Amino acid sequence: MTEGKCPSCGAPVAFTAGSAQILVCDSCRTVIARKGPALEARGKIAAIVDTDSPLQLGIQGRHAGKSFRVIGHLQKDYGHGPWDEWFLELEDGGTAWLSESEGEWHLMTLSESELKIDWAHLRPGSKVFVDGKPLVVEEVGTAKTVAAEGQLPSDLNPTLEDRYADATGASGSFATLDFGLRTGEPEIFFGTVIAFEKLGISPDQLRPKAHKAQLLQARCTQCNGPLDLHAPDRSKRVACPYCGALLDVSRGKLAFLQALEGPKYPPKIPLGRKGTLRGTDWLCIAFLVRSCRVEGVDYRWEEYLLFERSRGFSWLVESDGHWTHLLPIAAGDVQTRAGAVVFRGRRLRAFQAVRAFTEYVLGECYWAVEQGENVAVIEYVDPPWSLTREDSDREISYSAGTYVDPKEIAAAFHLEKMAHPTGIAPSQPNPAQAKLGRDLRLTFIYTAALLVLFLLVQFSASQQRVLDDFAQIPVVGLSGSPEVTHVSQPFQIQRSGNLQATLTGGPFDNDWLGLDCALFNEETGEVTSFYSELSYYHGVDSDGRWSEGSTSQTLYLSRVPAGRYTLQVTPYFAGLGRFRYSVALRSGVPRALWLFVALAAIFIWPVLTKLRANGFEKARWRESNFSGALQVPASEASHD
Amino acid sequence: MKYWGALILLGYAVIAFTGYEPFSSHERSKVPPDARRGPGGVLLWHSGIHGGK
Repeated sequence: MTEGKCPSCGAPVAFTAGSAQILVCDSCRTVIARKGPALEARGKIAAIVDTDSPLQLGIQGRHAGKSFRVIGHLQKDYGHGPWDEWFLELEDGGTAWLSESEGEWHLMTLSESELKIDWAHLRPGSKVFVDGKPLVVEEVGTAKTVAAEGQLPSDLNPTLEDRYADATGASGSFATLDFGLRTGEPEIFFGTVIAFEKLGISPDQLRPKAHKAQLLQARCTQCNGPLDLHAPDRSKRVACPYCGALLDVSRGKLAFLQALEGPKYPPKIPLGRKGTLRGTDWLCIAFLVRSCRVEGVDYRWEEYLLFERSRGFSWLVESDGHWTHLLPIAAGDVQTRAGAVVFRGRRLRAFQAVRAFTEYVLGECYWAVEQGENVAVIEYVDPPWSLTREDSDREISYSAGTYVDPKEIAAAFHLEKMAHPTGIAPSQPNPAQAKLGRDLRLTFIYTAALLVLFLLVQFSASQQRVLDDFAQIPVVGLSGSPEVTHVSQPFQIQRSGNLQATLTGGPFDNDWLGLDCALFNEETGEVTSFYSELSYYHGVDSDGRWSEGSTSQTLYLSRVPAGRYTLQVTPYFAGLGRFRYSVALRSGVPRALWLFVALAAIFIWPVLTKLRANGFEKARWRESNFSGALQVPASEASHD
Repeated sequence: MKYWGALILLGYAVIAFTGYEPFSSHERSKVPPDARRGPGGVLLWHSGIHGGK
């Protein structure tokens, strides 16, 4: 411990942490540096602005088996409001940083890795490797250290602008590349996103959120209209619903920034409306109208910012009556492929790339929103999933979510009128595709059932040969006369069922033979009549030899009852009756034909479903402007 | 699909177990009691089907 007096005001000061080289005097805000046993004044720094952070100096916690103590506090600002960084001393003498950004906490330690990169060449979306892990740069910028308190590891100069880049990796890994005033060789602070509850800080140590809580019921600085702010501790901008004034809320009080043109129609979900969507009680806190221009046509959509204290922010995007619910995700969780991205093992194809303009804003926003701001937006889809990438010069952000049925939105937010969706949304689930899986399962079940039934029929069918008869037509007989008619011996059909009749005749030489058959039931007098014509024609023409006809035919008679029968066959022919013919009858013959017909009928259903699914997809992708390489329109192409 | 498949299954079962032949061209009728028989037991009555080229 190094104790002494502030070189500026004489107040007692003490370096309690061995890692601290700088201390801010509580009394006069002088930055004091430790030089051996001596203390040097390094100028003054502003007092901390109240950001409603729950942390304060002296708080103790425990993480990963090590206890820690908060000994220093920085506030940095890149021009749109400060954020907090907390310096921690660990029980083993090590140090760490805890930072808060848009409701997320990042716990980082100084990495010994070295990166040969140039800050000037870093862009949002650039890839870097820290400790062998791939990270994606989400934000590149400069910021000043505007306020500080407690003990800190390195010198402070509020007049200098430090260069930095934030990067995220898979599974919540996070890094800040601190270039300081340099353009290369950054100090790398590497760690993970951490839930505040896992920091092991007892609630009695937390600072009450007093200051910004006053903003919950603030008044617009321009029109004095009442502003019901729902997340003043997380918001940076508020757009007054009465006068359209855009107000800065990042510094603990409202400050006028810009007069905005208000939306031409009210939001479908009123600001302040609560709704339970998929198990989370969201609060609608902002409404934006955004647009893009594609091939000279302007397309508008609406975005609703939802807030829930433990889950943070999410978005409901409405376009043509279709709704998508999106949650922010880390860029490091997204792997970019050619024309696609992979997120949590799911491959999403690029659907469209546009430049999105913010036309109107109402309510509270967690970023420094501006009317007219524009970003490049790429939407990737794997229905019902949608993943959106937004690129500005400074920052890249991703959000991912799923399509939501408009009825679900209406029920969640108690909306009475909901426009019927038109067209097909990029992430709208394909109703036929959803049915296809079920249809294929049913097809498999029914096919198996049919095969079982077929086997059952095969084994149970009588397949009884009831008649084998033969006749020779007298040469002198006349066609169709009683002299040539043949009557079989009586025969018995044991079980009712179909009857297979096979008729064979000959000899044929460019000739035909018609067999008019009558099956008499001797017991009931019922007669079943059928006719078969046998023939064989042949010859030679300009194409060579030809032949046609058949000397044998098989017919099936429907449901012939059991009983005693005779078969009477009357032949018809041209010329002399020199033919002979045979008739074979079998009862109860199972037919594979009906199995195939049934199988075809079963399979036609999933085939039609697949065709419908393909048609839906074709209609969906007709609206895509992705053609192998995504070209986001340049910002110069903004519309009026 | 559920009902369509069940209908097909039912239709196949009916055809398979009753011997019903949907596209058979045979005709059914009753022989009148006074129909005469000729030599060889030939019934001198015709149901209506006539062949011929």
